Amino acid sequence: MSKIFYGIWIYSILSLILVFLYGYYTGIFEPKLFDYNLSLWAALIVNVILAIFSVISLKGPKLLPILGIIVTPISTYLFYASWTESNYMYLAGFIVIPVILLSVATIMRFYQKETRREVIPQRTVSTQPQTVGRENIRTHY
Amino acid sequence: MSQTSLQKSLMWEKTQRLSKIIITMVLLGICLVSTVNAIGVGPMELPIDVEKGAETSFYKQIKVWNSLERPVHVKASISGSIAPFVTLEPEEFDLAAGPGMSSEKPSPSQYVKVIFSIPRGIAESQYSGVITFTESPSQGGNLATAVALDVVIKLNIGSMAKAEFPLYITALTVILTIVLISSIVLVMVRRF
Repeated sequence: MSKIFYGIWIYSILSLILVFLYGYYTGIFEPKLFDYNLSLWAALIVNVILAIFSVISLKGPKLLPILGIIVTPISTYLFYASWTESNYMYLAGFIVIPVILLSVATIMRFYQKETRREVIPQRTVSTQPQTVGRENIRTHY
Repeated sequence: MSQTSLQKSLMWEKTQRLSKIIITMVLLGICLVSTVNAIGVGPMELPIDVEKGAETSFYKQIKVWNSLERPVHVKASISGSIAPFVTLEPEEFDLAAGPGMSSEKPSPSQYVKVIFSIPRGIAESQYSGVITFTESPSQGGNLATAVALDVVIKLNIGSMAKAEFPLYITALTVILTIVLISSIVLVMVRRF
């Protein structure tokens, strides 16, 4: 969980940096590389980072890594199209993606922490012998 | 040869010359009438200067009118290096019969939208093109005409303009920043 959380956090920071570059140094994305503006390559690098974090986090809960993999090409396209066509609706979509991902990641991380905190005191406080769970039986003896 | 026959031949020659001049003038008149009296457009030239990315989608209008005393069908087309960035709306239209050249009444007209869509990645240069308005050969009457008028467009693409974000982009950026800070702060607070 922590890998994908920090992955999304880094992705959000990089997205924010891209938006600031777009706003204050618009011409920075003008040079072309393999027939495409740097706007495509910059967005692609940021999204590849998210994709890598998503893939390495696939062992844990699946929701966020799968969401991360799905939004990667969409986010890249949105930033590229926004810069080349000067259409800010695309840019709005590009910003909304990290907002949603980060909100979901934060909520999920909180939910996970809360459940852990609830489980741990039950083990220590419990005085009654329990028939279910090998761990509890061992603690009782 | 007698004097009367000489006078007759001279008269015949004069008559022939006069008839030739009259025929030539009539033909010239017909040609001039068919070209001058057809459609009119304005302005004839559209010089445009833009900074890259500052104005990527905008339009200009060209007025087309009919001076003929019969309805005409007009087709508009674009050519030149500017063609990929320009669309015309409408490309074809009909103009009702006009009051004639001598009349002071207003001629029926139509505005054609010249819509420019200039991508930000376009090279810094001057692009030019021609919008041609062609009056389709009209049916009926003794003479079929096909008159074309050109409007010249010169588009100067300047240096890159700084992006000016609308309010909703600024708002979204602020929201993202708040979510970023709050998420990391909350996670840190919960850890300790």
